[in-house]
Amino acid sequence: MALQIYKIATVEVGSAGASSIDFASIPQGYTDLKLVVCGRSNRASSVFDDILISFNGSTSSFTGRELYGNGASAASITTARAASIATASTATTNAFGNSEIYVPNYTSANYKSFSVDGVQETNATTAYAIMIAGLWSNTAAITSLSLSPSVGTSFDQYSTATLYGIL
Amino acid sequence: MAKTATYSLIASTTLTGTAAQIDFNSIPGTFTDLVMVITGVSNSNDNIFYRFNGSSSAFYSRTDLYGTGTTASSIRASSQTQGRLTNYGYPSTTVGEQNTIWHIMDYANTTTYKTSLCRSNRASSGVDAMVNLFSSTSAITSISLATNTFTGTANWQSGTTAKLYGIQAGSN
Repeated sequence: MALQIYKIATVEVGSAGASSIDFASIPQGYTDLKLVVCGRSNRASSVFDDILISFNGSTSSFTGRELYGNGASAASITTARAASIATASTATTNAFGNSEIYVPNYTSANYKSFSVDGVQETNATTAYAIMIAGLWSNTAAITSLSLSPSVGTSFDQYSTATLYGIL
Repeated sequence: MAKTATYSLIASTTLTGTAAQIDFNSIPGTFTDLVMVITGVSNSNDNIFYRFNGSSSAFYSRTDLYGTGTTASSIRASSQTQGRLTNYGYPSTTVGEQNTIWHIMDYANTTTYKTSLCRSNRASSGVDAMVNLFSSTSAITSISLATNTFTGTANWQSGTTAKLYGIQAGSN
C-alpha cells in the first residue's frame, strides 16, 4: 500500500527567534494539508499566546469558533485567525505548546475550512486545551501559509512547524 | 527491519449532484484503523449521520463536547438506530464551509465494540468533539453517511467530499 502522507517541509526557529514561520510555494499535488506546530512565544507576563495563521499572505476573511478548557472551566468564543496555541514567557521552562491544523481540499475553488486541536501545557494551575473550527472565506488555492504569535513579537528558539501533504 | 507504517487512501467521493447517502462498501480488513475526512454540503443545514454495515439496530451511542462561540457544553445520546458525527459543526449549504475528521479505531476486530473519535467544525456555528460507540463486535465492512437521517431524501449536495483512509500499524 502506498504511503500517502508526505512531509513537505519543516521549519525550526533558531537562536535569534522568528517573527513568523512561513511555508511558501506549497505544492499543489496533494488533497489535504496537515500542519503540526510546536511553539513557544516571547509574550511577556503570560503562560500562553495564540498563534495566528494567514493563507497566501491574506489576513482577511477568517472566522472561527473555539472551545477551550483551562483546568478550571470550559468556555467557547469566536475567533478570527487563531489556529494554534503556544506557551509563553511565564510557562514552565522548556515547555512548548502543540497543535495540529488540518486543511481539507486546500487546492479547491471553494472556501477553506480547517480544524485545530491544540494544547498549551505548563506545570501550573492554568493551562489550556483548545479546539477550533476555522474558515478562510476565500476561493483561492492555498499556495503559502504563515504562522505568527498573536501578542508576542516572535517565536522562541526550538519552536517548530512541519507541513504534510495528504493524497 | 524498517517499519512499514502506511496511511492509504481506500476510496474517495466527490458529489457532482445530490445524493441520499454516501456509501463505502467492501472496506478491506487489512488495516488497523480508519480515518475519514468529510467536507459536507447539505440542502438545509443538517447533521451528518452514519451507519456501520447497514445496521439500523439500536447500537449507536455518543457523547459530544461542543462550543458554539458563546456556550461550552456537553450532550449524550444512547441506544440510537444511527450514529451522528455533528451537533454544531454540521454541514451548511455553502461548499467548503464544514469539515469532519473521524477516527475509527481497530475497526476490523471481531472481539470488541467499536469506538470512534470525531471532530466536526463549522466556523459559523460551532465545534464538536465527539466519541461514538457502535455496540457490536462485528468487523466494520461498510460505512454509510446521510445528512438529516437516513430518510432516502437526496439531502447531500454537490461539492460534498468524503475520503476514507486506512492506517496500518508499523512492524518491527
